[in-house]
Amino acid sequence: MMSRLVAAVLLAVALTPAAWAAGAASLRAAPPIYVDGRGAGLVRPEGIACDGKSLVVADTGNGRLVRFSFDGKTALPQPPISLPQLPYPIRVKLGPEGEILVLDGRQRKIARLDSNGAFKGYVELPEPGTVVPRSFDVDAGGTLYILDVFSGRVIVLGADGRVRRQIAFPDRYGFFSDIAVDSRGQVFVVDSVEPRIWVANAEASELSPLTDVLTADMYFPTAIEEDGQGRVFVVDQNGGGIVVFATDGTFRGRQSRYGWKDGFLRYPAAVCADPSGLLFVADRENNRVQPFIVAD
Amino acid sequence: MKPRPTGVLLFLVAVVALSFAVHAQNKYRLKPGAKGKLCLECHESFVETTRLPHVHTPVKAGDCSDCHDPHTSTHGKLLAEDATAICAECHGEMVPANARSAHEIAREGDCVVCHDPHGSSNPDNLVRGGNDLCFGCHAEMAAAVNEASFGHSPAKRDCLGCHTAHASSESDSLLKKEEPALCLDCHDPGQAFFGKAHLGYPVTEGRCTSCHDPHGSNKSGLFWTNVHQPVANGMCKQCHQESSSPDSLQLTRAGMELCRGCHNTMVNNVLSKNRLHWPVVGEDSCLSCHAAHASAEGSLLREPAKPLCGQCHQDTLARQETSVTKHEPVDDGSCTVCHSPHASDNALLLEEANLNELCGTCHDWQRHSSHPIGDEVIDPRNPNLALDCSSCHRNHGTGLPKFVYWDHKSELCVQCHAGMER
Repeated sequence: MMSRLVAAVLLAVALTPAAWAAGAASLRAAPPIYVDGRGAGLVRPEGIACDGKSLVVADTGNGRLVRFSFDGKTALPQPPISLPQLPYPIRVKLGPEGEILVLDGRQRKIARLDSNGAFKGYVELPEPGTVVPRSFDVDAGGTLYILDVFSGRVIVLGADGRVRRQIAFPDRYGFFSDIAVDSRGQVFVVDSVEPRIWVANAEASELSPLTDVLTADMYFPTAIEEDGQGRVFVVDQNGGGIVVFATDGTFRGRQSRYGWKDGFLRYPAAVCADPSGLLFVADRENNRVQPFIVAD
Repeated sequence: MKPRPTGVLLFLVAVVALSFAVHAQNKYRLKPGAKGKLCLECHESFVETTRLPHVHTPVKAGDCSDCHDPHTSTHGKLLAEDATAICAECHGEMVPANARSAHEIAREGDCVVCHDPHGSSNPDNLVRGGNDLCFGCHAEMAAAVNEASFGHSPAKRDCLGCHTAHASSESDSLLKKEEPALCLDCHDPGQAFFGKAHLGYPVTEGRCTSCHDPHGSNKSGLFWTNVHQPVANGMCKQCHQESSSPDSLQLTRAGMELCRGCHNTMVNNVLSKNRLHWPVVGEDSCLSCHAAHASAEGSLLREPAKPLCGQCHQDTLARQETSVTKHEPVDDGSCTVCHSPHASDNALLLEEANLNELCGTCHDWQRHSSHPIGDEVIDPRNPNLALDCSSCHRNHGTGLPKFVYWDHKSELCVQCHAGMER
C-alpha cells in the first residue's frame, strides 16, 4: 500500500523542459498514478485536466474527482471531491481562475465547481431538450466549446453564457467523441467511427477535414488534446495508443501500446497536455493515470 | 523531280507502322489460315463452343492468342495477363470511378463467375440465363423471391429490371436509379389506389423500401416481416403531422423524444444509466439502429446485428475476422449477449459489472483453469486490477488460439510470472 501511495504522492519525473518544435514527439512513460492521497485506488478514470498547477482526474468508477497540486515535477494529493450533483464524471477541464468544469455522464450536464471543489451550478445550455454534450473544452478566456451530438453541432458559449456561434457537423461523418480548442480559437474534433480529425478555424461555421480517414493508424479514437506547442494528441481507445499529429494534420507517429504494465494503455479515455511537458492519460481499464514525458 | 525528304520520311514511318501492325496481328507468326484452327486440332471440345449461339468475338475469329500465350505464361490457363485484368484489356474498367455501388466480383475482375470467356447459349456469354445466374450466388434472395406469398413480379422476372450487373453511379445496392424514382417507373402515384393505400401522405418524397420489401413478402402490401405497430395500424400521425398538413411528413417531435411518446419506460430506463451508447442520443437517435417503419430484422433493426454494429465498430469485427479462434457471440453477431445496446451502468456497456460473472454465464471458468482468478487476486502487472478473464483473453479475438494475447507456452505466463522466464 505504501508503495502505491508513494507513487501517487511523488510523481518524481525527471523533467527537462525544452523548447518543443512542432515535430515528432516521443513519449517516455513516467510512474503511473494509481491511488488518491488516502491510498484509495482509482476506478476507470475517464477524464483528466491539467494546467501546470493542478491535476484533476475524473475517477469515474468511484463517482468522484481526485485532485493533485502539481509543480511540474511532483504531484501532491489534495482531498478528493465527491458531489451528489456529479454522480458519474466523465470529462473534466480547468477553466480560468482554477474553476473546474465537469461533464457528468449520467445527467449529461456540465457542472461548474470553484477552485476548492464547491458546486457552483450547471452550465445553462441553450435550447433545452435539444443539446446532449458528449464532450467539451474551455479556452483561456472561459469560453466553452460544447460537442452537442444531439443536434450535430459545436456550441461556442461565451463566459457570459451567451451563444457566440455554432459550428455545424459535416453532412457525412462517423461519430464525434471529443473536442479540443487551441489558443488561436481553432477547434479540433475527433471522429471515432471514421477515424480522422476535423477542424474549424476561429470564425468558421462548419468543420473541415484536417486529416484523411486514418484506419491504419487509429482503431477507435475517442479523445483529443492540443498542447499549445503545435501538436495534437489523439487517444486511440481500442488500439491502446496515443497518435500524434501536427496542427496542420501531418501524422507524427504513434506511441505506447495495449497492455497492463506501466507505460502501456488499456482503453485509454482522455488526455491532457501539461505546460511542464507532461502528457497525462486517463488509462481507463488499467484504473490509473499514466503520465508520459514528451520529448522531440 | 527529286523526292522531298519529308515525304520519304513519312513513307518510311508508314511502312514501319504497317509492319508492326501486321506483326501485332500475327505475333506468333502462325502459318496462313492457322490461327484458332491450329489450336482446335488439340482442343477439340472447343469446336462445339464455337457453334454456340453466343461466342466471344476473339474465339469466333480464331484469335485464341489474343488471350492465351501458346508457349508459356506466368498466369493460369496460359493467359497472357492475370485473369482479373485480362478482360479489361478490351472491355475497359466495368466499375467507373464515380460508382456509388459496385458488384464485388466486377470490382475484383472476377468476370468468369458470370461470363463464359469462350461461348454460351445465353446473351452476353452469361454462364446461366436470367435470374438463375444471380441466384447461383444470392441463394437466400432466390428463396425470398420465389417463395414469398406475395411476390413482386419484376423481381421474379429479371433482377436486371432494377439492378445493374456491374456498378451503379446512381444509387446504392446496384440500383439503376435512386428510389422512389425507380419504383415510380412502374407505380403511378396518381392512381386513386396509390393515394388511398398511403393514407394521403406524399410518400413519393420518401423511400419505398422503408416499408416495402421489393423482393416479395409474406405480408400483403409487400411489407417487411416486422412492421412498427403505428404503421401496421395505419396510424402515421402518431409520429408524422396530419396528412392534410403542408409538411405532413414532418415528425411531431425530434429524436428520442418522439419515440418516448410510446416507449417512455424504456427511454427513462436508458437515460437513468451511467453510461449511454452515445448514438442513442445522437442526431439520428433511435434511428441510428432501428427502422422507423418496417424491417426484415427483429426489434426493427435496420439490418442484421453484426453488420449493424460493425458499421461503427469495424475494428472490433475486424479483430474477430482475423482471430484464430472465433468467439461465438461475436462471430454470429450476438453482440447483445455481452453488451447492452442502449445503456448500462458498467464499463464497455457490459451486461454484468463483473467480467468473470459475465463470462461465467456461458463458460464454466472455475473448471476451465485452476489458475487463481477473481476480485481477491491482484494482477502482478498492475496493482489496481484483479485478475479476470480479460487478463489473458481478448474477447473479440487475437491471432492466437483461444484468443489469448500471447503465445501460450512461451510468453503468456511470464507476463506475470516474470521470474519463470527462460
